[in-house]
Amino acid sequence: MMKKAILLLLLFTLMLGACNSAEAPDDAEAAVNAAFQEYSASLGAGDADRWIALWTEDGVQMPPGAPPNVGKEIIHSGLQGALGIFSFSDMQISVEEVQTTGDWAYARGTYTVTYIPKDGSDPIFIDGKFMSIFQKQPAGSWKLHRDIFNSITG
Amino acid sequence: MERVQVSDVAKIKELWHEYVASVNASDLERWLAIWIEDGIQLPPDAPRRSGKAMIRAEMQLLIELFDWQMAVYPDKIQVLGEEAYAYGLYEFVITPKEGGDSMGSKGKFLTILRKQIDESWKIVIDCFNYDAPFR
Repeated sequence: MMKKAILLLLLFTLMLGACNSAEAPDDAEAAVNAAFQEYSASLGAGDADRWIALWTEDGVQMPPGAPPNVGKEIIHSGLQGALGIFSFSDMQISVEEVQTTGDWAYARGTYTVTYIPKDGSDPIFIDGKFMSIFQKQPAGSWKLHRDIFNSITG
Repeated sequence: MERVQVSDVAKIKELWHEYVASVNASDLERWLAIWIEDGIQLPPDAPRRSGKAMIRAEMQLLIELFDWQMAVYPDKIQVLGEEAYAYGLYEFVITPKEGGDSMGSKGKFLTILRKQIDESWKIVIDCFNYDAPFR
């Protein structure tokens, strides 16, 4: 009887440990939302190094009007090029859905941003939508792994 | 687990074949059959389309008015248990059924898929854009 009780207690403790070690979906969602806040803040600051820190090494960015950018280095140089032409003003990202599966999460939503050309041309307002895939890193952070976006109005 | 994943990747590759075959056959209902009921399509230059009914309504004219020649090249399929994502490239040419110039584009896509009770896979969210302006 005692042995059975100890075995049940041991089983209960193991189960509790398993629940605690698995990240709650809410934690992943909070991390993804924080990543998007940093995404817009770093672009607004014109800081490509800060922005690229959000990405995995083998990330793929799929912007409209251009072929995919494959790998952190290419994605980084792509943004550096863009920042040479315009600045990002007042970027607002609205996350509509986050779903988590183990060490992966996907998110979709909408965004608005104004591109301010550095040559003094008129600002360009963009309203768009996106879908992104995040991957949990060994250290526990979530990084952007795939990102595709397009306009809502042509 | 590995054997299941190889089989799932094969099924998702087959889904892309069906995607292309149904569009090229102008068979809207056949194409919609690879979507979940509350699927979301995120096409370029248009708002989000939520649910099969809305997707059907927006795609109907495109399928009815044009002959399609589409090709899809999945570059990566990652199975994540009961969900998966796929990304890759696509290209298409559309020709008005009543005559006129063809138009086309090349682009890329990122798609979320979900395994169904019958072990088939269906599209949950599909987002795509053009590499260059559509012409």
